[in-house]
Amino acid sequence: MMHRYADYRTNKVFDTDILIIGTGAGGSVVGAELAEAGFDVTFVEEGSYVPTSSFSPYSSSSVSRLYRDGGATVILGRPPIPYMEGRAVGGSTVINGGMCYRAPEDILGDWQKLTGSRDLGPEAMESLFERVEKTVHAKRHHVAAVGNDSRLMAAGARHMGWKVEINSRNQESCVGANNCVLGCPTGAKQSTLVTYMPRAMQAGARLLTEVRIHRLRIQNGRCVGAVGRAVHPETRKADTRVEIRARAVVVACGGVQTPNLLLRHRVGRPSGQLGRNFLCHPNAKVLAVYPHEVNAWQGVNQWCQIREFHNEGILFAENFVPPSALAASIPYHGQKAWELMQRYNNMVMSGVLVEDSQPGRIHRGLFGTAMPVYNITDYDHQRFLKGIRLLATMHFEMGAEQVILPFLNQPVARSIDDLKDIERLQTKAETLELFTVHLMGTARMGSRPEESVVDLGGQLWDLPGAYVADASLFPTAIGVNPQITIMALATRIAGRLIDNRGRVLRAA
Amino acid sequence: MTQILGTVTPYAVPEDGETTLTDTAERATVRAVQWANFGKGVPTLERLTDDGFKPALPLAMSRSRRASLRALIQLICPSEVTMPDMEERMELQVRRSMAYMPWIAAFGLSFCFALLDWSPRFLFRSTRRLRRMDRERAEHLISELSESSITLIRTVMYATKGIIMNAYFDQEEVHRALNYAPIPFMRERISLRQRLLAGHAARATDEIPSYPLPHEEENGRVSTAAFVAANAGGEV
Repeated sequence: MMHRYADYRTNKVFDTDILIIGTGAGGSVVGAELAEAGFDVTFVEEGSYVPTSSFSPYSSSSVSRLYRDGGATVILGRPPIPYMEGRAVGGSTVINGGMCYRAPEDILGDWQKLTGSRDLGPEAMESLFERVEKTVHAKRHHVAAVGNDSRLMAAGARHMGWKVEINSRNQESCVGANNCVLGCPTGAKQSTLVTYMPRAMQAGARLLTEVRIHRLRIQNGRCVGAVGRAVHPETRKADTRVEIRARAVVVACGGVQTPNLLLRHRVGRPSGQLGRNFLCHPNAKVLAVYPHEVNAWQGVNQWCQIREFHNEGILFAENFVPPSALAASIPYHGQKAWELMQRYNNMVMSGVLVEDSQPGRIHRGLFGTAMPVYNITDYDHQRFLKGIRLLATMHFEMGAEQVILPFLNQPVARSIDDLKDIERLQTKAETLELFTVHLMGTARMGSRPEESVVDLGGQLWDLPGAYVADASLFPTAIGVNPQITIMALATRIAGRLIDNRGRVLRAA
Repeated sequence: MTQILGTVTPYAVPEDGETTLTDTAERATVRAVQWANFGKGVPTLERLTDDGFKPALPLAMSRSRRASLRALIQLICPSEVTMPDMEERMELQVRRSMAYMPWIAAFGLSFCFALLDWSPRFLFRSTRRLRRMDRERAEHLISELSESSITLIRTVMYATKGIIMNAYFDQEEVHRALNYAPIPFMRERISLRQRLLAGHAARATDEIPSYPLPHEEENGRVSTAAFVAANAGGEV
């Protein structure tokens, strides 16, 4: 059964075994596994149900429907970093690039050491990764889907002698429509909207859309549900009160919203780590303009990644976006913007991703809004400068006429010689323009309450009945796209709940 | 008959199923059929699909605030492409986008529009507001503010410019002027995928036309085309 705003006029109170808050890479996986195991599952999703048949290439209508706060979300700090999160059934999996990378073995080895448990080690995670990859059809693309920006990046890397890794993506017969960030119109991207959510619904799960959860219900020190308000689709006001009573609650709202919800209840006290360890894999964009057409809007969103500098925590990749999103990020307006945008078909949008060296923190701000704070370190800044210089050099080597740089005081380079000024001019992090989509680490998993927020089963140390199942769980940054790792951990948490079925259902 | 789908039939979800069944296995089968197409479907690729979704009402603004916004639209949007009622369309789109922001962010952004409109006076550049300054000087001031060394001012400009440019470059007229035609391309790709799912093999003509790349013959390397072919997934 699925509900939306109009339904809450009559139905305001729901009873269920397991309440799942969020339908993204974490929530949908836990929900589908539990529903298929016979639990009575209810999902709550703040966004709307937007099926594949409603996707389009128009960003103004799509962003409103699919992105949190219409895409106007920012991390405060030095420099401020805009970030994107999905807010629709399927969460961020509906709007992500669909890259399927497992957390690297050395990272899992670190997790094993940090937690003192083999449960998060490479061997224990192997079967979980396999299970998830099979469900979302993680594989390489057929040649018919590969576009010219991908070919150019691969050719550039090979010319420079750099290592190229071909992406595995969650796709079934992807034909390179390249609308991943606004919802895949061919249905090829295997987001949770078309994989785990149908499974959960078929197994009898209930889905409450357009409800924003404001607080958890806590009775006798145990989490027994949540209370929220339905959001009016036209006025955007959260008005009708909706209450869900449950025996256990899984919070899967992502690396920013999960700690924000939990912080309201002052949980995570033993370690004081809730909201801390905020990691976000910041990105800088490098936009190259070529003398010939590339038509990068045709072909798969990101076919490969350049991993030559992965040991230093630096990744390069292409990631093309519609003209509206691109125009919003260029350093010009008016006539100058038009002159550049006229060459849209000649552009290749690429990015430098840097693995975090220092975490930030999520605060609960005014009126209950999440306030992420994150500063990049001098070390991160230096790695960005190196990455941007190298990637821009590659574009010039491949014949680019100009490269738009992510520096406020040095927005364009017209030759390799211009890149020599980067080290001289870029002395402050404030002049760097970044963005991010990977948000994680704010309710870290561990085996000791004094240093983690949740136990290895995902349950909060100081709030029985409340579980976390999203990227907040990560004990450290993983340096790769996180969706597969989130899904694998969510599968693990679902497995623990199924194993403890009797205890979970008897509780409350 | 009890309704399965709640009091309002949700969009793009099959009709109600028979729920008087008592057998659990039969119930599961009915549910499986009923929800098999959840999340799926072939899009019309229209800006607003007739799927029952109601877009938010544009954020309420005073007449003066709207005039400030229109002044900024005039200054920030390129003037090359002529569109009927451009300012009105942009204004509505910007206000509608703002309705999806948290009220504190929307209020802040709306306040920024007014602040920018008054900025020539605050900065002692003119006795007039931005909306009444001559275009060249006003554009110059906007550029200066965009490159300000003060993070807060830069962030204000980034948000204002971002939301207006996003609205402008999302118009069909602008897409045509840029030779950006996603709809026919996506239609062709949707039908290609349907063909592939029906069991037909991909043809060479289904590949996206490629352009010559430099440095192809260096060091006896295989060409990029051969590299791509060698690294592509076998099955479609």
